[in-house]
Amino acid sequence: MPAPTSGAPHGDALISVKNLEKTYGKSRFKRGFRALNGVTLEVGRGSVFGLLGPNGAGKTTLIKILMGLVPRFEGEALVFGQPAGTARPRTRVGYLPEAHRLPNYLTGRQALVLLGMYSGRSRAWLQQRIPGWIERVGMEKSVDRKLREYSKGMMQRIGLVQALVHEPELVFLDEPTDGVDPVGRKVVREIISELRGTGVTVFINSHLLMEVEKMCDRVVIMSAGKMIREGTIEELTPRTGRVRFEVEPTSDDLGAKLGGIGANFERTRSGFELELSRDEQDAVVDRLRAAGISIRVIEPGKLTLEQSFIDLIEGKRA
Amino acid sequence: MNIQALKALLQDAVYQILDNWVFRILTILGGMLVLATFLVGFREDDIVLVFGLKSWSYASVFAAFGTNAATLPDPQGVLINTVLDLLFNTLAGSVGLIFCIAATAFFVPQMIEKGAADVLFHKPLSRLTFYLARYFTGLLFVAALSTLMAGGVYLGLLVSSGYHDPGVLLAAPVLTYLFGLIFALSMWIGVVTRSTVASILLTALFFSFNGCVHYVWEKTQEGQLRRLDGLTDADVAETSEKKRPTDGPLLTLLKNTNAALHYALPKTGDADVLASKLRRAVNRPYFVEDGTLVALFRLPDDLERVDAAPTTETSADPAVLALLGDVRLALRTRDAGASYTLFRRPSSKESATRAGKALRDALLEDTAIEDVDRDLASFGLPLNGQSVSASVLRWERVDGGRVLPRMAVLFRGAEAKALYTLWIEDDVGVASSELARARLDELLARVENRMGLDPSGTSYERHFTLTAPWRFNILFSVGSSLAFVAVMLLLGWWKLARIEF
Repeated sequence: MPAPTSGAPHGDALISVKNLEKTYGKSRFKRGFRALNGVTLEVGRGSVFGLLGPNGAGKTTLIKILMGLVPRFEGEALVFGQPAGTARPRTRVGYLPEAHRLPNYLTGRQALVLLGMYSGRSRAWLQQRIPGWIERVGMEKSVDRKLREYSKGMMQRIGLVQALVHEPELVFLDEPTDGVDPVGRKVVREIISELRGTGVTVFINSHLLMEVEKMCDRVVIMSAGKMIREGTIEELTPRTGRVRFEVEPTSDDLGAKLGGIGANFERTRSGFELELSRDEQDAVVDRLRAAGISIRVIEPGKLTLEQSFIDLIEGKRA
Repeated sequence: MNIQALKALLQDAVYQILDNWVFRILTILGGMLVLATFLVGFREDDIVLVFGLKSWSYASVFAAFGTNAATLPDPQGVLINTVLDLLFNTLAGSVGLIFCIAATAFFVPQMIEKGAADVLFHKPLSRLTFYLARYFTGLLFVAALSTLMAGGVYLGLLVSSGYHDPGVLLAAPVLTYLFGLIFALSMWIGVVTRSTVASILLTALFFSFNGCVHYVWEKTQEGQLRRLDGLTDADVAETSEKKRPTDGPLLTLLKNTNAALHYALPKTGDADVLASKLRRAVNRPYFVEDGTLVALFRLPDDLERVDAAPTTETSADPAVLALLGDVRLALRTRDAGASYTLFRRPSSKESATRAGKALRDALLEDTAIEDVDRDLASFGLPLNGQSVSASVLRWERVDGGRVLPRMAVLFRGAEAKALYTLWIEDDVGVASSELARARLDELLARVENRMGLDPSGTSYERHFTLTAPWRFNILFSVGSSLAFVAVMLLLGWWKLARIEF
């Protein structure tokens, strides 16, 4: 199977992973746990990737190998063309780990300055940009408090800024909206959308598939240490062939009024659903209008990412 | 590593220290001790509270501890040294050090907690850099505290006591060095166990064990040290064999194990010795004999040092000179009325009393000397509490109607096999023999309370020098201790580099 390539010509990949294998706890006497089992992937510039998979699929291990946090593995892992774990490419990378812990003896602002400086930015450069970021994530009132006084959501917002403040070209966000309120989630989505616009490649690892569906262009699905599917959101959420109609008024004889067009008719609270071809759809509209029924909504049915994901994991779809 | 990252690491260290509550408590405690040195002044003659609000004479203070202050060569120095020893060796060097270990032991376990490690170690800096940064943060922690204390105490003593001893400032680097030896191990334990509590407990345990290892080793080196003191192998063998039988195989094994541990482990006990050596190097007595510790702590104002040491009797009689030995120090009163000469000759067993008797017999050979009085006296008092027994000879030389008083004070140096004679001649003279004794007492008083044995502690401490054989050598002690630190840091880094977060 050729390596799934996303967004960039071969050789210009931000991330290049070939036959990546990782087994934890392996010793002479123990077989250990195989977290990655021959993952191959190439990622180009300027997309937002969703990295999906059930618990233990190997998503975090893959990210940690790329970040140099898991030093021993088999296969090849390159970031910006250099071996994962080497320092130089990591100046161009931002990372928000899951359940991260920032040094609690620092204030939010101090943490942002120091972590940005570790990534090679000067204090003056950071001090110019940090106020904008702080305003963006709504942390103006708390940024000069010690991190140990932060709530989970506040910590997550500051964590997101620390991953982005040095303006990386490649960003890994592990559960970025974990613990964040709905308003905060909207801000996170907006930030990610802006990153996409500036050509930054973003990797999102999340169990909130609705969030992933809203934020990502492409999705990689992993299971049992393997990549089982990679594609755009459109490709992973195909149409079901069913069409949902919301009509007014609704009556019990709606099915009879359609005169047997389509298949698998099903009543809903505000209308009905049924399987239709494109030609049949026009015919249904004509019949409803002729019966004096007002059509409020016509929506073609699509598989949700969640359903698609579950189907894939449970082996229902190839 | 770029300069920004370096600046960030330094800034991080400062934030981490300033946020540490133990650091704040120790700073307050240190500040209180410093304040005490401002409020209590140890003056030349008395101890004063709050710049003279209340005062106590040394005589009354020492009497409370059963010591006669008049016998001390330098009561102010004795008391200040005691206070400094209490502050820097007992409080800061032992209790304070354990507190500092407790306050810094969490540095590494906290850094490698899941979540925290992810944030730090994905940055473009190596794990070794972060590890070393934590080590230097610990050193900065102790350096800041000890500099505050040493600098404050130095200023306090200067302002309140008029005691200028820049050697006090050396306590700061020595305490930092001592902490650095232990902290490297604490960090390694922190990496291996990932537990702050384990790191504190095991480090404290090691600190105690390490102290025992070196104490036992020091005791096993007595024979070697006595050879360095000038005893022959035969002398050593004679005294040693009498004390104990030949070692059995088990004892030999234990001794060898102890020696191996001593050489491999950091010599934490040597830090105190090093501190006192450095202080001594900065603030040496006016004159000190390294081998025997005989010292003139301060030169009396009305005396000056001279090159030659002509004495009437010794010039005239080579037999007397032979009993005195070489000139080590020659002083003369500024009006050139009297001279003081310190002689030294090797002597392994002869007591001061016997030597005094021999000198008296030789002097009596001179027809110009009619009689020689011989007394026993306690000459000076060393700061380690052992008095020096002296044999004092007094006689007169009559010259044209003037009586010229003469005196010889014979005493032994500490441990090293040498006999000293302090020879005093008055060339102005007095009108009668009745006045001669008073004149001699007056001349002796000028130096008696300024001489004594320099407090250099144990035999091992005295032989711990830059030129000593390797096992007692400062460079070996420091070098092997730093090697231990390097090994601990390398092991810690090796372990850290293999952790999969």
